[in-house]
Amino acid sequence: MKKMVLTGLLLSTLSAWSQNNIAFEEYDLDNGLHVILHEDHSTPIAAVTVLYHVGSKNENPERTGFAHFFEHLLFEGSENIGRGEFDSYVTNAGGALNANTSQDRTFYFELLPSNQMELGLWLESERMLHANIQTVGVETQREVVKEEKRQRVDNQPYGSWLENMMKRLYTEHPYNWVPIGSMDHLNAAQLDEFMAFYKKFYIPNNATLSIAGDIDVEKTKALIEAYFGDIPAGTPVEQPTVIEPALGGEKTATIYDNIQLPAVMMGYRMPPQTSDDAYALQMASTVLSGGPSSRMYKRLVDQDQTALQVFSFPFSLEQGGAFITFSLANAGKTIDDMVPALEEEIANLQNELISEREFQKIQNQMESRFVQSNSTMAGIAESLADYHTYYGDANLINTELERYRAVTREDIQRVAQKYLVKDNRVVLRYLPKSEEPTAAAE
Amino acid sequence: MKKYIYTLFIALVTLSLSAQVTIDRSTAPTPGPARTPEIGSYESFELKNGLKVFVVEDHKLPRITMSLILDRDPIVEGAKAGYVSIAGDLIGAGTANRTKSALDEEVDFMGANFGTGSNSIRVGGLSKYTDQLIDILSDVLLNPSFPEEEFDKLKSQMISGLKANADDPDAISGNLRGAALYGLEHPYGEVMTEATVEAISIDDCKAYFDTYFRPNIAYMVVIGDITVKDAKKKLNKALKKWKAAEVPTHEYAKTSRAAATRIVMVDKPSAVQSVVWLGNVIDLPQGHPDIEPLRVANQILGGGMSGRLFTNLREDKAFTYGAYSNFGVDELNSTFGASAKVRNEVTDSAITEFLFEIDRMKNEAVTEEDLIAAKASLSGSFGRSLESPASAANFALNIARYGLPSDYYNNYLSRLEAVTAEDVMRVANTYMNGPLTITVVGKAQDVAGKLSAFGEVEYYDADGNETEAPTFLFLPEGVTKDAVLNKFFDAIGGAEAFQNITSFEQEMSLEAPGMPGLVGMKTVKNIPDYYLTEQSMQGMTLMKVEYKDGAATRSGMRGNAELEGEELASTAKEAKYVISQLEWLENPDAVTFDGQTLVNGKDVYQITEGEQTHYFDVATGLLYMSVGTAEGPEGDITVTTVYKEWQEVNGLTFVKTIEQSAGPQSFTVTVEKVTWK
Repeated sequence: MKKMVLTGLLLSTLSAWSQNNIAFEEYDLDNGLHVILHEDHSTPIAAVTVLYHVGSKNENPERTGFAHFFEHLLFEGSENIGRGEFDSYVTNAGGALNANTSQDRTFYFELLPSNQMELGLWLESERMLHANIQTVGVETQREVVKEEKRQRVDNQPYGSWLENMMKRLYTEHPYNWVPIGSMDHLNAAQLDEFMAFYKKFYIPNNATLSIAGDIDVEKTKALIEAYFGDIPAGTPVEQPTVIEPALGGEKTATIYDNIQLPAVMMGYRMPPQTSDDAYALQMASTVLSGGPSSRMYKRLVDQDQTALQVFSFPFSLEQGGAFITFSLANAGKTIDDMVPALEEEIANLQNELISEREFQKIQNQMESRFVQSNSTMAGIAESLADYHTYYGDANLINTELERYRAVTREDIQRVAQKYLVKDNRVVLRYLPKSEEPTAAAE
Repeated sequence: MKKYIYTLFIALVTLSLSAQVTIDRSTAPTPGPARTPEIGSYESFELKNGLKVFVVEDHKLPRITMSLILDRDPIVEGAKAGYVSIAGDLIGAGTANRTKSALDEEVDFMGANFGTGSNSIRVGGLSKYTDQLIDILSDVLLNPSFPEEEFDKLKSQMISGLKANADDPDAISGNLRGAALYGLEHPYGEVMTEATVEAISIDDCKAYFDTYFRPNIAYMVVIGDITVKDAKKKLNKALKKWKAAEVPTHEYAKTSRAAATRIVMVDKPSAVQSVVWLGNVIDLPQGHPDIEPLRVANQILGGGMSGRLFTNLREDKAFTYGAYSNFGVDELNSTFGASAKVRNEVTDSAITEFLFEIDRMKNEAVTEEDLIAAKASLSGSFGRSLESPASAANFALNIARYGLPSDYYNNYLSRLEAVTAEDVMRVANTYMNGPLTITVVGKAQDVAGKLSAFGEVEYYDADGNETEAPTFLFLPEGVTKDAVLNKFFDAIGGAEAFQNITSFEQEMSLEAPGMPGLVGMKTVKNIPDYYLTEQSMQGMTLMKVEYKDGAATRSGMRGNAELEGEELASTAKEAKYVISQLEWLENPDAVTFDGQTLVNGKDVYQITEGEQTHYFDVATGLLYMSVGTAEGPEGDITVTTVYKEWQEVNGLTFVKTIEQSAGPQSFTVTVEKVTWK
């Protein structure tokens, strides 16, 4: 996975300029930091991003929510940056910044006027070199994260569905929990545990620095060496190797929420996002719900009118994930009104090849999506880092369409037969609290 | 060996590059010279039918978007609220040449986007499909078929959507804000409900389309991989049959601000967070010179993660995941507001901090540092927005719609730069000043009590209708009758101390509207067998009741009488207990504890004693209010007694001010003097 510095330089990709082709250069520093640079002078801005290959799946099962909590903590300051100044430096320079955490990664970014690009390097190198983790920040961010959970999950209709899905879909693998994690775990965590997490995961050889925009590549390289070159490498991070046993039968759960319209979510275990089958499942999902002419939409929303909304999507993750269908009932309709139609549409995919015309349609949809993606510097920097980290091939930013084109009609049928089966799924039935059986009635 | 040489060579190159750069980690790097961001160019032309077209050529990616946008006055939809919105969806649900399903198939087959709304039709996709996209757009515009079944479907979907929103705190907050600021009769305040959607007919939708989808009030914005010349030729051909017609205009009076701070609430019993918004309508038209100073002021107050609201409410107090302020400039009514989602128990504290930060903006000049930072942030954000070719198109559209000078956006940065600290303070006082309207969507049981500190809480339902305050009574965990009574006695100095009082005297004055003067009242008790109460005005006794030796007499203006039965018993009790609650200790079954509730926005414990209900303040333990009935000339009337203030007299606490209302009458009783031993 880790390339040698020099071969990296020699092999650095310098694609020719052409429409839709995103030229970039990539190499490793001695300490293992992977660097990707894309130069584009259209607008005087630069996106400076760092992707750490740590997400909730790297957490101790007794300390879930750590990776995301860390994302909050790492805005608290460093040896040279006071508490709260991360943001003010960027804002005052006319930039914007933020971060996000998934099951697989933690991603930090600054969008800056291009003459301030070096500021982004300084801030990110400080974050990597010596973050300042102190009690006051930990205490404050604990409460902030609880508010984040209330806002996104507890106070949001259907907000708990992903958590409910993942904990049933995965029992051994750390995809069992979601990035927001457990508030009890965060409450229990001590300061030294935070320090240990930082030392273990926030190391250059677990990170990708990806920069896109109005930059001078040679000058930028020199600056990167100056800011990041002397950050010591750490012990290489080992990604989890848990093998999740087969689900071994359908699991169903009913959840009573503060909602009025029932909803049903079906989740099927998926292969890793890099696999060919994941691409085929992405195509299958487009057949089912890509646009108003797609099968599920047409059937449930337009014809049967049992659903107000229906969509399927592959929630693709590095080591698996979930193929989700989400169907929200129309007023007066029930989950049982929707489920047979959903299952029939999946069965159709399994029993018959999709037509040539439909196949052409989803290929066109993929092409359109691909061409129109990566239209911003921030998006390009992020995609480059993702492709490098998960696929070991940043150039997928230019070539990923080929992987979709390699999927055949037979592949779509095959993956539907292999993955979209009852034994491999969890069904969540969301019902209004008013329908919850009372203790007396039970 | 060869590889080694390469290695050495590259290593040297790397070294020499690094050697050129020295950094100092202890301070932020100095920025290089800034490149001024340039606004993309556009061209515009007008078709014969009056349609104004803006084209921004952008050949970076082989894609195109075309948006038709209507510029009409807001409409009051009234009892059919929602018809404009359904009409917007229905336009895209089929044409004379394409059924809905044919249209969907055609769009999806190109991997394109297509959408219609009450003021727009938009298509977008790869530029190789430009002709087909224009064909769809013009077919939809010129030949919509308004299919009956699609209309029925949209209606039922809209009703389902309303049900989905019924539990969405943000949707409720939006309804509440509109209703509170503008009222339900205003285009910005009216709320769609199942009843209004049911009332919509397909003819309403057709009439809307015929009236308002006219080229003379429309703009077409084309962005992407097309030349101006091509755009002109293609659009001319496709839309020449689109006919102009007179479109009605609608005028609305400026919405006035509330005269006093309002606190309005929707009770959402399942909420674990309160959605708080506070703000006002402001008088700020497009192009006004105060816009840039207000932008700077808003940036400092709550423009982002460096804003004072975020720093205070999140990074310092950890009340919320985010707190921001913003303002919207609109032709009809502009608004300024600030908002956050905060956990129930800090809802009032969060509002206090919002008001504190707004006051600071009004009363303290911002520092030079704040000013520079806010300007830098705003210019940066403007610069970043120019990455999207849509920005140039939006600017052109705004210049045309609002009659702005053609260089309005080119001069934006210099107007921003000219803003001073004085400007910021002035606009803060003009646009952020009170009285503000505060809206809260949350769990009233947990939050409403403390909200009354900001004013009387007005309650609305989720559809923006005013409603009664919620009456909820619940049994708080671990609270018993004894606990409530003990807390009360502890608050006044202890039950035992009151039981040990042997004599008690109290002088009071009673004031009532319409009465010529104060009524003096005096009470004397010698525990447990003597009680005297006397009311007088200007030295003349109005009434006197005396209990002595087991008998009671009443004398005064209503004549003399021996008291009997209930009246006698009640004077005997007065003699026995210095305060009536002491009786409850001897006879605990006389009262029941019902639970905790809200009275006048105050959290209280409810105790029932026969036909009387007493409310004890959860916070202080003191008696807050008693409600009972009395015989009036026209039947029973409710007598409400509020114990407004308490005072300490030689270590024990007695009531100081009482407000009583009996039917239409109300009195204020002030205790002037208490002696006890």
